[in-house]
Amino acid sequence: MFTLSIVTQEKILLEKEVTSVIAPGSEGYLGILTNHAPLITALKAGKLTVKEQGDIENDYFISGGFLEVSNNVVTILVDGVQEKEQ
Amino acid sequence: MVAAAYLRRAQARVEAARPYSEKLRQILNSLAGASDISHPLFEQREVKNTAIVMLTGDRGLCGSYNQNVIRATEILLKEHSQDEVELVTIGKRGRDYFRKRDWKITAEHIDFGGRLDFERTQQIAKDATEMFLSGEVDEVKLIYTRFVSAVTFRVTVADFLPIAKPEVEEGAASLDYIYEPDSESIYAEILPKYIENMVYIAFAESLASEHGARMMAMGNATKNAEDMIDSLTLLRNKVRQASITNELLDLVGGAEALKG
Repeated sequence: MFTLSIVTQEKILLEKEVTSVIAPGSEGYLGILTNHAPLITALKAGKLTVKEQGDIENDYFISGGFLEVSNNVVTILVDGVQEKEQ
Repeated sequence: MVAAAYLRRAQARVEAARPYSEKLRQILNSLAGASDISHPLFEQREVKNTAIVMLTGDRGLCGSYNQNVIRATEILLKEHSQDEVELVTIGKRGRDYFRKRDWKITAEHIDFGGRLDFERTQQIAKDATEMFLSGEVDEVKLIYTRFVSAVTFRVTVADFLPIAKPEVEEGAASLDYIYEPDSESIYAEILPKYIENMVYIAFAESLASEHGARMMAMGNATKNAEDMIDSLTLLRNKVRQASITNELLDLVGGAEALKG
């Protein structure tokens, strides 16, 4: 488990404990699990998958941004984001 | 109090916008610590031409809010000769003021309707970056009103471009980040975002200040009107009483005369 926050210029969209994140990195999709090494990467447009405990999965579409991992805190700065309709 | 409701919303937006910019700065700082990178947006050139981006409101009736920004802009303008400086005005008030004067206005953005418009601030940031990178201007200054509290606003002149190099904090050994693809490309992506964010924050703060200033101005106007109503009511009653007394005196005088 680690903390994920998705932040847009306008507000904090999401802040919660999750088990994994799959993000569209500029070099291809990357998955992040607990205890990931510190990382900063640019994101391109694509699908962001967030998995929570209990196999709850949420998809977001983002239009690019940045992702930072440090000490089990993942911060994603996004330009535009759209939650996928279930 | 309509302005008070606007103010609360604007204030909430200023606060909501802060996490993003803090995080962005943090990433920028750790990047600066990781490698010594030069980027055109950091380039300090000898200043020949200056662009001034000034943020005022679209509407008046907000005390000295617009005046303060205009005054600060004029002070800055006077340091330059006319052909060395150009203005980007945001908000009707600033544009109307400077349109009648001899300064060159390169771009104007009006009619925001008191709302925070991310796409438009993004455009303003892009235009400013373009002007700087093309060499049209060698520095860009940003004049806006900082929202300190609901009753305190400070006109701020910020050095916008070139971007001040982030300070590398000694000792604060930042984490050993992995950069993907590499720190240079992240730099190239993050700097435009940083500029956009600066304009966005400045705009958000200015808007909150404008609503705050308007609330105060309207509050004062209401109070003054109430005072005036009080004093006029008193005057009316006095005049009325005096005329009644006069009529009574006439009547009593007349009756006395008949008796005699």
